[in-house]
Amino acid sequence: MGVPPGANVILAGHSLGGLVAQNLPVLSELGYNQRWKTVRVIAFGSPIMNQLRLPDSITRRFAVWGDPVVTQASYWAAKIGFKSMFFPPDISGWSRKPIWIDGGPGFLDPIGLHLAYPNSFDLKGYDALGDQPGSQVLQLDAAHERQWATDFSQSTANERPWVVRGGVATSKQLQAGTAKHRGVPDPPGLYGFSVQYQPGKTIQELAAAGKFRNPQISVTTDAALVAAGVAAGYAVSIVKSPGAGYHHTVQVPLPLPLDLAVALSAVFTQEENPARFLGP
Amino acid sequence: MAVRLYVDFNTMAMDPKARVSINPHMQPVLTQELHPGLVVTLYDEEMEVEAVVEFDEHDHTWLGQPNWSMRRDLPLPGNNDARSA
Repeated sequence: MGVPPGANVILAGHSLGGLVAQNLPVLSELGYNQRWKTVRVIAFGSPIMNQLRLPDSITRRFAVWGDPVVTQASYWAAKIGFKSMFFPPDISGWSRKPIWIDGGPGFLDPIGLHLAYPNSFDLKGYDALGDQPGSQVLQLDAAHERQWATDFSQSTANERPWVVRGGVATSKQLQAGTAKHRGVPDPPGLYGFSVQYQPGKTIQELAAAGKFRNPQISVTTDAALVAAGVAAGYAVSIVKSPGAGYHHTVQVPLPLPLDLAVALSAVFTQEENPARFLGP
Repeated sequence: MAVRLYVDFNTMAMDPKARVSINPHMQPVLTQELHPGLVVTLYDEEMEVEAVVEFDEHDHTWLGQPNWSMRRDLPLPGNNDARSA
């Protein structure tokens, strides 16, 4: 990635990115990557799960009160006895609390809470290394700046990578909808449930494309969905697939396990269908 | 009384004929009663609709072709009013 060998690295990430940031140094300890020295890991709104234990001295985990990815994802990971080489459960994480911060108004909006970090007034009291009080300031070197991904914090509400389904995304509904995707031959086949998804499209555009007949739609984001899956111990991905509108398939095991169905259902919120289809 | 089958109406999006998939894992006993041409009621938390059962030989999948003129919104929890199509 162009990082000089032996460099001091600060890893920071939001949601799934924060989870990955927590685990990259663990891989380094296991010998997978010893090129850099991780001096600090800062995670925002990420599940708490690094059983291989980064030293507390280098981790800072910020959590907005009510953020479902922090609370429910960690809860389900612990409850099911998550077992994985890279993402084992941090049961002790319940005693090592994250740094709780206020995300501002919107406590009834789980997605909003998960995306509230850039606007948290509390974060202004921490320095560049996540310490309070602290005096560390990062001076960015624009000449050597590289960008590997879209700056999500600069997105407007309508540009967030929404995932939309018709109806109420209960665990039962997700289980009923999980099937082999017809039209995708075996092997490899495609197994999962249908969503409307296209980064850059608004919720209304996705709802209209889906021609949903239900009075309500269920909405989440790609990051929240994937993070919930990872935290529950399953690889969840969103792939483009044949179908109407902006049809994608959320790839999950078939049949969809109840624990994963519950975890995924928890990151959806319901709202009135803005483009209800009532045609023949 | 028509067989009632819980479904996910989002599955219509992946079918060229906008048919609804009937997941045998959800109601294995009821699925044994299905045969092509059977009129059933498909439902979820919010609405129900009459449908004619079809069997996809290629994918070995039971499907329901809804008659959307027979859609009926189900009462919301705590609300006794049903809203019809």
